[in-house]
Amino acid sequence: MSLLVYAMVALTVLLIASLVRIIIGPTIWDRLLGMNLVTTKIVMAIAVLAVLMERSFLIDVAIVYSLLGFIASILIARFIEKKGQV
Amino acid sequence: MVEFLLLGSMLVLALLALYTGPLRIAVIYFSVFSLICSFLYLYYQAPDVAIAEAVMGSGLITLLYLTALKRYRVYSVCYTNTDFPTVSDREIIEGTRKGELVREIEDFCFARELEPQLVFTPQPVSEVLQSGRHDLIIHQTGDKITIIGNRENYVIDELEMLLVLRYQDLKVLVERYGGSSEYGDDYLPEED
Repeated sequence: MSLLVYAMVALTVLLIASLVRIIIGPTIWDRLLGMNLVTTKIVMAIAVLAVLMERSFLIDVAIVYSLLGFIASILIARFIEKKGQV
Repeated sequence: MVEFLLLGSMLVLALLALYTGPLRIAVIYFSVFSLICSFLYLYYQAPDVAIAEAVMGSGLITLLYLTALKRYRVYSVCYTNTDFPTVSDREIIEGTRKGELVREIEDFCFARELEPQLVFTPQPVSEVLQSGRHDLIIHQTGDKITIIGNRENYVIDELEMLLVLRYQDLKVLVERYGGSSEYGDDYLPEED
């Protein structure tokens, strides 16, 4: 049980490390990469939370999140690459 | 422990999303903010709210903001000419090719769903630049025409291409200035 809690804390620390990349990132691509990292960390944290709270439907939420993160980063990347056209 | 770290980072992200000038970057901050927010909803055992927040904040709002950024605002073009004490509309349009050039720029803006707003002024360029109200400045001294725009403006690259293709006979020079602008109308900042 406590191992999962440690995993949760480690994931949070990693998430904050990716946040630092988002904040200082010199170009917008660094920020996009950081956003993608945050999304994956959140998905993992939700999976850990599902085991911790013993609720299996949280795994479904994790799937929804990963899809959404994918869509969001694709949208922003396309927007920047095409210079203002989605 | 976990929740305090996440709440703190949410605070930082919210402030950044509010106070960041370049709007593309603010959209990214907001997207991450709402992701962490929805995770915290899950943490506080409200999974239905969390799913709604994720769908709205991460998906819909990002799409909506990016589309809104695309079709945007009035594009203000300033024409300066220090040779004449007063520059009127007619004096420029009279001069064959230059009038065409100005009209071309207007059409160019219309094609990109920007609403061009032409201003004529006898002020020197430095004053116009300092006022910072214009997105594009066309400056004429004698025969030389200089087009001055912010480096972060995507439109200027396309405009330069057009001018190179069609107006080789005029001595047109394109200049860029600035890194990040401090007023709020920065369209698409930051070089790749």
